[in-house]
Amino acid sequence: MTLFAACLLTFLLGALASLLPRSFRAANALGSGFAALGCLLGLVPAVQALASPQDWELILYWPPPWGLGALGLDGISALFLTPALGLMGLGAVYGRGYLANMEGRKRAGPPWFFYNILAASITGVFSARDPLLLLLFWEGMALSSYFLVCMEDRDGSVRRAGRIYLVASHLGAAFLLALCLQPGASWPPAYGLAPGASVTMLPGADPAGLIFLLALVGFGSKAGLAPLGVWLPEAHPAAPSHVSAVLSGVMIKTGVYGILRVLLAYQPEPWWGWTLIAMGGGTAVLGVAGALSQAEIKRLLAWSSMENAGLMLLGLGLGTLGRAHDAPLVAALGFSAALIHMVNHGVFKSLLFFCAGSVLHGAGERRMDQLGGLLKRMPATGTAFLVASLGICGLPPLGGFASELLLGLAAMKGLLLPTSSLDIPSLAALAALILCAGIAAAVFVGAFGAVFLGEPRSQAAQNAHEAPALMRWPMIFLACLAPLMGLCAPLLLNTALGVLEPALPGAQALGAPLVTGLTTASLVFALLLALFGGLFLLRRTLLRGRDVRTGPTWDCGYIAPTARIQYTYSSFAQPLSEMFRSLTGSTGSATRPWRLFPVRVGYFAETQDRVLTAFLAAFNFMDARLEALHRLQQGQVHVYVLYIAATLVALLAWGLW
Amino acid sequence: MLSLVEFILVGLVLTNLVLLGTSRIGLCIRMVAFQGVGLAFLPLLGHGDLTWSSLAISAATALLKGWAFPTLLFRSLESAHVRAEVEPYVSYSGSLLFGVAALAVSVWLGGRMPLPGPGVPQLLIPVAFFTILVGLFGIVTRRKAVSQVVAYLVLENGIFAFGAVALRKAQLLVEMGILLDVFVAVFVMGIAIFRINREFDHIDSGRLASLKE
Repeated sequence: MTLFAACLLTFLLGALASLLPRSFRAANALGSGFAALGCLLGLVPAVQALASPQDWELILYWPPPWGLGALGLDGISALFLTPALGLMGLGAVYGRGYLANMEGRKRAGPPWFFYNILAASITGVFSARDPLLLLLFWEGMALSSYFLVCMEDRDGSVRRAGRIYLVASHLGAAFLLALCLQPGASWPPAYGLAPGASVTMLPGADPAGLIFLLALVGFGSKAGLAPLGVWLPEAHPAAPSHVSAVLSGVMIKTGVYGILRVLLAYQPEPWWGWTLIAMGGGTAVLGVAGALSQAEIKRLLAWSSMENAGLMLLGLGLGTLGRAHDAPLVAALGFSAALIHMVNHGVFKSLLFFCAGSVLHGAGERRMDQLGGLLKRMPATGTAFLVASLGICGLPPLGGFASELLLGLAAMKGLLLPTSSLDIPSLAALAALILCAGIAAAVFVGAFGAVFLGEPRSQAAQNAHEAPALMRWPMIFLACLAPLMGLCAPLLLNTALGVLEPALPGAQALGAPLVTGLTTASLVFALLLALFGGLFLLRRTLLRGRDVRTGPTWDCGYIAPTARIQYTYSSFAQPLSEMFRSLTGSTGSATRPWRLFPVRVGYFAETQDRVLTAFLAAFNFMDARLEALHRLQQGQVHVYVLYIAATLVALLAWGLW
Repeated sequence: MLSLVEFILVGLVLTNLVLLGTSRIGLCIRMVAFQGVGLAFLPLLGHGDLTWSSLAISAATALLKGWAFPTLLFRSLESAHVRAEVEPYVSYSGSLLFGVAALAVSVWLGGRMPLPGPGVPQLLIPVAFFTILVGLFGIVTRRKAVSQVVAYLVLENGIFAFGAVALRKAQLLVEMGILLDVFVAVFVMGIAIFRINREFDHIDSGRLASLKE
């Protein structure tokens, strides 16, 4: 497909073009323009492939040592690629507005260079048809996103986050290297490959199981799975907001994509599903509990991304169990729930990060407890944030509802099976899902309330201003898309089932009743939306021509209210985060009111990421053990050349022996 | 013809030993230039018949290796104001001992390696390999950046010697590629030496270790 090749070429051209101009504005415009254009070009073949699933391949003729590389789009690639390209394009538009205020402080070329490379790599990851090519794009994605995360490199915490990210992503990549370079590896793994048919491994090992574990660790680290995703809450908030949106909304999904490909290719064993559900449930609960105890809005969103990655994995786990136990309906529901949640989460999380960036841009403050009352000052951002929060909590009529409903349905169908083999995992998945949905609602009520409602708590929030048009329009577009996606849920489900059809024969027929059910629900939602719209219009017509006055909120007769008497986010979340203290490692200490006229009252909370702390401790331990190797790093060019020369001569001598 | 090629190869061995044993950078540069001019004859002698392409390669090689590189190196030596000694990590006698050992290893390795074709002198592989080893040794043990560039040229001479006689096909392409590489490398190194000297007041690449993390 020429358009697809043109899309990749546009990204590469954009990367180079953004480096050329000296002026900030020209580089900013060129970089974002090329990225957006590339995404538009790529969207056409992606949507075409989605509409009429057809396999085509773009063969790249590379020099002999590499062999032939091929890019291709089948249904699954297209389903991942379509939202990815759309969100990256919007991110490019948004980023142009976001970076504009850095003029004079930074150069615009490098961020756009890496953004274009990132876009090309993500597109490549979703369409690679060759293990080596996949690794190449994967590495390009990891490196370019590292540089984007480190854009504000003057800030020590950003550098630290970048370092953690770089180490974590390469640890994950090491497992992928093992996965992709094993003899006989193919990507994507061929459908219906009998376990061990073309795979030779250590004798006695279970090859398919080993591949599954490698994929789980390698791809899972990118998806932010519980113990491996330590980097996620560090790196995502450190990046500039349009990049955070792409990282959270799109890049996490590359991990899900990889795991899904491996799951669909092999005949799974039940323990695969158990592992996935355990890890997914753990990640989801840990993520949402972590979100409770955050003080900065972008960190909260990053933790919530972890939660949603966990939910997607729950879906994959249920689907796998369904396949392993020969329950096709559970399989179809589980996998399609994961796919639909992937699309929805991408839209909502990107929108939330856009809004967070707009708050950061308008108020210059990232701590939620210093913000407040922004809905009046930034109406577009506030409304968009509200819509996205509703969506991500899984409330109807938005898209999140359909995906979480499907996930729940998959678990219910698992419970209702005549055999009891799926009971425990289904119950566990259901429990995790419900717990997460509840706490997520609390998290976003708290976040929206603290940031956008009430009175400003600081001068910065007082002086906040709405974002420029370039940042506003992507948000408005996504906010309008969100309810539309809720209404189109049956269409989405049908597409997802169709995409899964080659791997799960009969999925579409099995899911047909659900599609009809969702269509009815969508009709009801449409009526509901129409009702709300009608009421809104009625209110406007009734109020037209009358004198409308806005006054202060009723203060219950208390004559000296200040902004400090409002609930802050930490105080709102304190009871819940206290419950999850053992999980999140947050510690709080309160100075309680004392005597008749209390002077000092306060609450101080601090959260330490337990998983990250444990990881760092492990690294320090390793570092201490391996100290002897430090001597190898001399810093002398001579010695390094000596290493190379000695290796070469030794290899030659060994070869000729 | 073959004896002439062998004559040049023996010259290569001798200049290598001089390179190992001398303390003057100026002499080193001259020796490399001498090697280069000698090597320039190889493409003419290797085939037996004169063609325009081999003539062009010879002329370019002689010009670059015999004139352009030495001039560049002498100029950077002047502009960097350094003492004209190579300042090795390994003593001169030690270097010579290494040279003898390397020669022995090369002859052993050359004996085990299959000859690339008929009409290739027996001496070729050991000598080319010896020159490569001496170049690597120079890069590792010589402290000054200029002498490292010289050693790099020696390394390249070894590769060239192998290629000029052994490679019949695509010779032009390979050699022009190598020449271009080396030219750029020497150019870049010349600039780098100049810069390093200006920033740090010395071109002792060993002291760059203070830049390590």
